[in-house]
Amino acid sequence: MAPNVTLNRLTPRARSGRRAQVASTRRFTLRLPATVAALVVSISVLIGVRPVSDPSPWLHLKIGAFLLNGGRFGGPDPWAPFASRVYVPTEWLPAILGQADYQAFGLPGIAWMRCAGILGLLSALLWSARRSADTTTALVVAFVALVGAYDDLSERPQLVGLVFLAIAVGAWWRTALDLKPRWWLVPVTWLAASSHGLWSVGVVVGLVIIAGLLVDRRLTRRDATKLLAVSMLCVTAAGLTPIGPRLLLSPLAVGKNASDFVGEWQSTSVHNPFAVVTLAMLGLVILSWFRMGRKPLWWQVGLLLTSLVATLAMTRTIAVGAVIAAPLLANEIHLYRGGPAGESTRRSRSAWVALIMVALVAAAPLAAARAQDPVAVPNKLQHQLSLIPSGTVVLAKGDISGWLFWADPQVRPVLDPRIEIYSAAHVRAFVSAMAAEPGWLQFVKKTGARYALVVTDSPIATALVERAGWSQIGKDTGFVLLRAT
Amino acid sequence: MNNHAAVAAEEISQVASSEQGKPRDHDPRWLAPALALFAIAATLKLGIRQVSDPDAWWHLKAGAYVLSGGSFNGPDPWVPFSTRPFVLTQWLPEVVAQKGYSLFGLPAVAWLRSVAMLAMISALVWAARQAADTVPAIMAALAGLIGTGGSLSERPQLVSFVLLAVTVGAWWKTAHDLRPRWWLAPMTLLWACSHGLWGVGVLIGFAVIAGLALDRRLNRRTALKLLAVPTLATVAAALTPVGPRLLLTPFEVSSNAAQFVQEWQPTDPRNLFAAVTLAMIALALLPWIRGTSARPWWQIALAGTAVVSTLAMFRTVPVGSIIAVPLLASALQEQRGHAASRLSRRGIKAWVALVTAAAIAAAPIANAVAQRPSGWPERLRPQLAAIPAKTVVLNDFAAGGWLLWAEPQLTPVIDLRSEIYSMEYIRDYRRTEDVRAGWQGFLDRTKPKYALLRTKAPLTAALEEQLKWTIVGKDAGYILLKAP
Repeated sequence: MAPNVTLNRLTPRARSGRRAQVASTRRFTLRLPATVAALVVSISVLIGVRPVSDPSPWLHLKIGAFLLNGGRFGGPDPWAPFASRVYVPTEWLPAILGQADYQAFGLPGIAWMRCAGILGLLSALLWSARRSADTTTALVVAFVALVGAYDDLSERPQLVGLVFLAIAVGAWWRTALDLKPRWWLVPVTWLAASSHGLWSVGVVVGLVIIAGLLVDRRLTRRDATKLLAVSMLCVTAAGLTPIGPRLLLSPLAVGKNASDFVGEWQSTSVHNPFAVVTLAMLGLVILSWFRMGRKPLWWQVGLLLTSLVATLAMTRTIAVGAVIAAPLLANEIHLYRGGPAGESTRRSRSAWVALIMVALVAAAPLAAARAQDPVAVPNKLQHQLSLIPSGTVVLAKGDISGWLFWADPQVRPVLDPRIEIYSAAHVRAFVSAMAAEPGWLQFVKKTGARYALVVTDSPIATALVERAGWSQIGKDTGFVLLRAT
Repeated sequence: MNNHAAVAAEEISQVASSEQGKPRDHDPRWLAPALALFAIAATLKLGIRQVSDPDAWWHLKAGAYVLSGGSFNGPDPWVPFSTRPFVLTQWLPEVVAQKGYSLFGLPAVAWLRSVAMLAMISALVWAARQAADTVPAIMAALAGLIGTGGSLSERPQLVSFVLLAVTVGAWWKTAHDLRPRWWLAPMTLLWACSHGLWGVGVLIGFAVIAGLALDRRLNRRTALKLLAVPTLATVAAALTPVGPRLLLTPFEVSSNAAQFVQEWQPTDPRNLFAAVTLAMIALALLPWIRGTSARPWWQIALAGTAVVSTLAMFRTVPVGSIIAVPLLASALQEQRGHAASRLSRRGIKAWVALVTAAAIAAAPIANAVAQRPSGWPERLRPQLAAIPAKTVVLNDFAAGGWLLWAEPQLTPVIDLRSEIYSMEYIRDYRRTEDVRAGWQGFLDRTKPKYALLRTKAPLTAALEEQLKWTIVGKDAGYILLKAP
């Protein structure tokens, strides 16, 4: 898996003339990948060790703690009084690991895990791109893909999902070249399915490549059967996690509510800079196909379309598009530059692993220094929140309700980020109430909310204060805590 | 369709099968006329409906203003809260529409829309015919009609779509024969009197020239000649009654509109019209990807412009669709394995006859279906008419134009001409519309006595619940409220 990054010692400088020039060129050739690798890994570490800021990890930490303490979801939801469906903890593995890490090292542990995830994604992207390109090209393309995936480089299980997806893309790319089935994808898919719903995209990528190979007439019936068996076994493995076969349908359950109400499930805006980066990657591939006069194979066309659809479908899947685009772009750049891609050596793999290990070790004190306190959450309201009587219903903005779960476990939010456990009518009424549309007060009364943690100056905050007479208890980081009078 | 139309369709059939003296393809004889009839009938069907666009009303009012001798560039004559000049960049279609309205009422506006759409399908077919035979050209034009479908309303931008299709076709021809089309310059003058998208026509010219230069098909003399066309077109745009100021107005409009107006927001690729346009582009590019010859840069430049236009904002999806039409036609033609046949005079005549017949047929139908506007609170007109003149009305953003047109004695706080208001004023209005903290500040500023809002708007609830405004009436999803 570790790609060919040459970090070996340089030869002594030649003393004169042509020998000196040759030596200088060789030294540059040897130095360049090592320099690029060090640069790319350093930037990735800096991106990785920022403070915990995403609204989602709080909920995952709570779920991890619940599962570690023997809790199981099955009956009425333990925290959400307005849930109408049973929660399926599809991301149980990173939730448990995250909670164990948090218990041992606090928030810096979570930031370090995110950094490790980003470095894991970088390594997987590099491995995916390295098959059809030289080390420097693969490194640069992997980093560009990492930038394209930036929106998803947060402390959430989907980062793990992306790592597994990059591995699946790299594996299927190799299969498309040598037609050999990668059976090890089956246990990897089990791990991916225990981490995040993106496992299914890996299966789709496999099916797209098999379909492309069939159209390219490169598969015998035996080959096709073998490759299809890998995909089918991957799906079977996903059905064998502790969640059981219902995991296979869970993406549909989440998507139904989320696509209507959650920002990241909305369609992509091309003004999003990460979408622009990913579309530029794909644009370069297409441009190369137009101008090079080479006929790309159907499986490559299939991959490109999959990447394009993922990039444009929703903000959440821009990263998927970037991950799939990486080997395509690396391949085109390498063909444009010419020369052999070269096999990765044990030495180069070891060098890369060593570099990543050094980066992970360096990330630990950096994370401890930078990520002691969370950002973008109203931490200073913790005291006031702790005074709220147990079981009180709190009207909280959707995102922040995950933090509320974690910061003040005894309160009951009207809605939380597990949007799939609520009825569409409840979610719609919540969204309408947050916009202070007609009927908002009836909704607040119906839920029995006595407190509200909402965005300062938002329509609902204004309505609660001005029209319902609620009083302000405190304010922090753009949030206001209100209490019914 | 009348007898005249049937004869014309038959002529198209004959022309399609016997262009240049021998059949060039294996299309059945009935296919081209059937497609032509279908394209024109579908356009007519889409074109004849009630007048409903929120912008149509202030365009009519602007037309009346020009006809009564109003200034092309000066302080806004209607809304006292505007702080920037009102520049009449679309005065020509506004005047034509107002003339039609004053003679025949709203059916004339609906008819003009139908005629503009017929002109657009004709221009699309013509542009596509530069790259393909009749059958693939009409198929591509029909796809273009669907792709532009979200914007085919009674607004001056329809004129832009027609002229854009003509411009794309003209530059496609130039890319083949390297001859400058000087007539594009005076056409751009006409375009600049009609709508702000004239700049896209100029941009397409430069894109094609840049592509041809990259393809090394231009010597210095030819390049200079071709460059003179978009340059002269830009000069022509500065010679409208608005003057050179027109060249900067797109920036002035977009600086406000991009933030507040929905159609200036980035395109949702899941939108039907965007999806159709993207599918058109994908179909056009697939043969390029699977072909073994390098594609010319000028076509790549056109394809790139189409993709960027489609994804940039909802407003420019039709631009992407129109540019994609000849690209798609060309891709379809490639599947036929021979070059496109040339347009014959007879074929053109037959098409013109068919379109003329359709335009004539559209008049009585428009008269029957478009007497009343659609989607506007017409039943509140008596209550609105009873309000004293110059009373300020806190209005829904989209309803501002209708209010200006329907009850000119009243003063809306805002209307869709976002460029005439300061950004701070629009932001203030938006805060009130969303009922965010400080929302009553805008009421103190504008002092409205009535409000015409959407029934389910947050502001409606706030005015009723908090400030005790009373309901005067409701219609078409709107509510008229009166201050206590």
